Amino acid sequence: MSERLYNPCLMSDDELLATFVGRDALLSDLLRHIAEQPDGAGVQHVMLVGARGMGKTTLLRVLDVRVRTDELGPTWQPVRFPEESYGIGDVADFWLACLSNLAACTQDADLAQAPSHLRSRYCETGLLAQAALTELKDWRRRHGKRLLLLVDNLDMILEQIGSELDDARFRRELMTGGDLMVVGGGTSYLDEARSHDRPLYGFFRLIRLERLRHEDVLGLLRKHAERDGANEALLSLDRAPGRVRALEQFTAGNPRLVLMLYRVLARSDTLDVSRGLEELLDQATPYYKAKTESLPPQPRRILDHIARVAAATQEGVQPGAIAEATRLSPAAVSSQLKRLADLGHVRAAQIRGRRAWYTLSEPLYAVWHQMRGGIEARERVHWLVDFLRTWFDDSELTTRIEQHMARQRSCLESGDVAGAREAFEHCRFLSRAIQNREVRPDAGFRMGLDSERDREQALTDLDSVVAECRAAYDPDRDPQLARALLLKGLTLGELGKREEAVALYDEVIGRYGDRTEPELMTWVALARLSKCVTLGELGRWREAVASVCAAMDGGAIVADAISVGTTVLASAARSGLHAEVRAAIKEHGLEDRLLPLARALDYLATGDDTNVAKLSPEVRGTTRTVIAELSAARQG
Amino acid sequence: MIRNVVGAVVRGDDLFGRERTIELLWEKLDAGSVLLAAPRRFGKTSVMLRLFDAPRPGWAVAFLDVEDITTPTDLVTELAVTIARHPQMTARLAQLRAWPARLVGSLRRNVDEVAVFDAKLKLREAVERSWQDRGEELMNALGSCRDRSLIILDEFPVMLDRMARSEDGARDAAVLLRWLRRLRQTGPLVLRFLIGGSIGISHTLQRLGEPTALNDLERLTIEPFSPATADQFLEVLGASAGMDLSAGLRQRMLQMAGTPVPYFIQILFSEVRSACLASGAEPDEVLIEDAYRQRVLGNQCKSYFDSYYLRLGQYYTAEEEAAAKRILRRLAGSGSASRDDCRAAYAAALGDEASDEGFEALMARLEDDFYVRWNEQDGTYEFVCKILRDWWLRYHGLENGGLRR
Repeated sequence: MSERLYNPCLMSDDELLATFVGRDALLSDLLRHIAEQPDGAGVQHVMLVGARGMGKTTLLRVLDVRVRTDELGPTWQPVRFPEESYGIGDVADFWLACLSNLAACTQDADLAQAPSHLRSRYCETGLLAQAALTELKDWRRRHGKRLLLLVDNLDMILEQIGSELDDARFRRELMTGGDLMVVGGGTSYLDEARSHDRPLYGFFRLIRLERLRHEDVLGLLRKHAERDGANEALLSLDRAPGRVRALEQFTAGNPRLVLMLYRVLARSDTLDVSRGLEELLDQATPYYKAKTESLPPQPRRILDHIARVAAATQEGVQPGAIAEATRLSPAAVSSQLKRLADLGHVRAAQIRGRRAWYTLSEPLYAVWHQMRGGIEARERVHWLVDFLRTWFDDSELTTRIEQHMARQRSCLESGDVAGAREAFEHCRFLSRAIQNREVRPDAGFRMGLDSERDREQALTDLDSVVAECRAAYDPDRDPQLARALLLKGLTLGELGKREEAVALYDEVIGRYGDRTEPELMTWVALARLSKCVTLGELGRWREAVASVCAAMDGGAIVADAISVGTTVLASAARSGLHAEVRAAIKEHGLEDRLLPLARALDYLATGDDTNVAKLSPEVRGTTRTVIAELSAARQG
Repeated sequence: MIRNVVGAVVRGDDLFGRERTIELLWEKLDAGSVLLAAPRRFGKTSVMLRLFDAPRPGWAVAFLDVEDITTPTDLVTELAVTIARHPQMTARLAQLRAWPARLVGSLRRNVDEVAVFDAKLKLREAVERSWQDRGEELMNALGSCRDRSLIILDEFPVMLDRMARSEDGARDAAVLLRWLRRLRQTGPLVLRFLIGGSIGISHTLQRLGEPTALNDLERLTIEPFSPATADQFLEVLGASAGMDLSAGLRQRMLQMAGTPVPYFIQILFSEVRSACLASGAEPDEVLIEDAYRQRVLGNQCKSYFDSYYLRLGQYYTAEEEAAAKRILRRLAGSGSASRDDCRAAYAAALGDEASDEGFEALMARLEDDFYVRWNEQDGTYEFVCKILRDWWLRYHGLENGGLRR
């Protein structure tokens, strides 16, 4: 069976009905509503309103299937509009689209010719609209069925039409025609409906799609787990009900996000949870980009500010603070917050007894925003730790840490340095998620903790280890010393003591850079990469460029080096060091590894697109993205 | 059993509590033509359609929504088509000597929608040559019978307003108004017009330079329900939806809605029902209060009342807008205010530009546009309905007044 999170229209009828959960009462209500409509004028049309991913398209599709196949079939003909109808620019286009869609739904080849025939005969919009509507009415008369128009994104269509006269024409038919009924979907209340003087205002019965309740989320997950034969996932749902609440919390009960998160967690080896979650955020990008970019600039600024603050504090923001930060008037902020709340982007949170705090409706949105916002890497870890804390209990976390540590040892023994580093990183995340401090494993991982006090304690413990190793030199303890120095550097960096951190990284590199033991090579490689990142944070770009190239020259942890290196070098380029970065890439022979960045820098220097055009489509796409980012930074 | 039809036209048994209004309308139409005024969603079209659906003996009623009509030619053409396809009126068109008989016949007899459309297009060409003459012939044909003819023109002021936006259109609109007035005054005695409008028509007539064009029409407004009718309405809605609404709960809902405008009652009922369906709970005071505060004031009515706020900027002068907002904010906060208090708020907004005449004109306009009403008993102004007041207080209760720059 397939699953189409963004395209429910691609699912078969059976798949659709088998996985439809959480809106049964609403569906029944709608079917009853359709059955009760008078035959003639006075039809009550409906608008389903909800944020993206709330299930409007799915509900319209299910309605289509149920009306076709159940007792309403003899009297109603569903006419399904595609999710996007960008070609509708006036009311004539709308009725013509209706004809085309009706022809498609009924597989009527003659009717399919009608739109082009009418277009050739009538030029004026009003006449063309009337002519198309006449054809629809004629179809109704001949077939004895009324038309149920299932119009996704109706708000967008009406915005595209954008004409008061066309709205009046549309309204007249909807009000007095009696031959059809509209069930539309939209993410917002019709702007049309907001104006007292506009024809369609208040015309539709508005039904808001609410977030799924706990039992609906559970039902949704069960159905999918059963369908997928994922017995482990089913058992997990029974054993750990808190996980359903975790999904609810992060997704705010948005069905699409619940399913996306479920898929990642269900199929991922728990060792890969963090990577899976990053993939999820990548998949969610089109959803959140559309959600954000659909807003006008002012509410988008406010949303951006709330997302940043919420990500950092996990609490929420007061309108006064938003006004100050965005330099908008309190009245404007207040008005926009209400609109954002109506649209489901934010909600008022009661914190410490006060209501005037706003936070994002979907915590996952805050996480996505963090990831996209170029926040320092260590800050991104917060969200992952939060999720791990919610998803696993302390004993599960400890078990997983032990598994990762065993995997790290195994990787080191086999020379898999990349694997060892990955396991090491997993241990860091999982360790931070443990809430009971007594349970946390040894001081080697007691770093990067959330509170400054914990970090200071970790430094004290690490200093003890370093002092011990230095006091009585034992080459067998070199790996332990290297690790302690590295961990101390990372902890100092998290405390903002970056200069001291760089000094420690240099000590690790200087002491052990020539060593060939796998574990030492791991710590040296990590020290090099950490140094690159920290130098970048200090704004010492030229040194950072040199350092990352040296790290890549080292040959170890290639994939990570490329990833980190690209990030650091791109940041350097954004700071204006285009020429230095390009020269460094060439000098260290890294052009193949950093091809998109190299080509982008070449293009920006010469304006010659030839070498970019020759690239494979995937690399070309990446290159153009880098060009756009660097250009924007240059102009900013 | 009735359906809770929110916002759309209500027909048949679903039209509740308007018997007296309809009775009054027939009485007034007996004597002459009528202008029926109410904001959108007050039930004006439903009332007019009831006259169309259930005409009194001796009456033939035609209904036409003219909102999307842009020229007098189109108006006369649509009237002709409507009358031609009206079972009671169609026979009268046999007398139209100057009209293309074949086309008229085609309109009268044809059930094929496409054929009717083609005939209408051709008829329009014939009407365009002289719409006034053709229109007069049409109305005279209606007047040739013993039965009285009622022509209902819904959203007539909107049609005029749209026509008035262009120079040619404004000229046409003025001619049309004069022509209709002449028809009413010198045309067949058995002919009546019911003109329905949801925007302030006085303002449009002023713009067209025809302030007296409709002063021969008796003006009626759609009133809110009486408290008893409102209570019965809720009871029937609840029973139809299978919801147990006790007398106490109904009273609570009506207290929240304030002035018993059916549309607001329906919205509140709809949101309470949605809340019950969503939670699986029976209605109680807490749920009702929550539905009112979070849903009605938060969602449904916000879009409705946004327009009340926005139109102050669209249709009032900057000075009027500033003063109106200050007065309305005052009323929102205090619930009601004496004429003197409103005058003081007006003066605070306009300073030296304030005048008694200006104040009186502004208050009259706010009443005319359904923002406020005068409470004769208390001698105060108040919002026309509580929901509007609550909304205003919530969303605009803290704004500063002052002139728009």
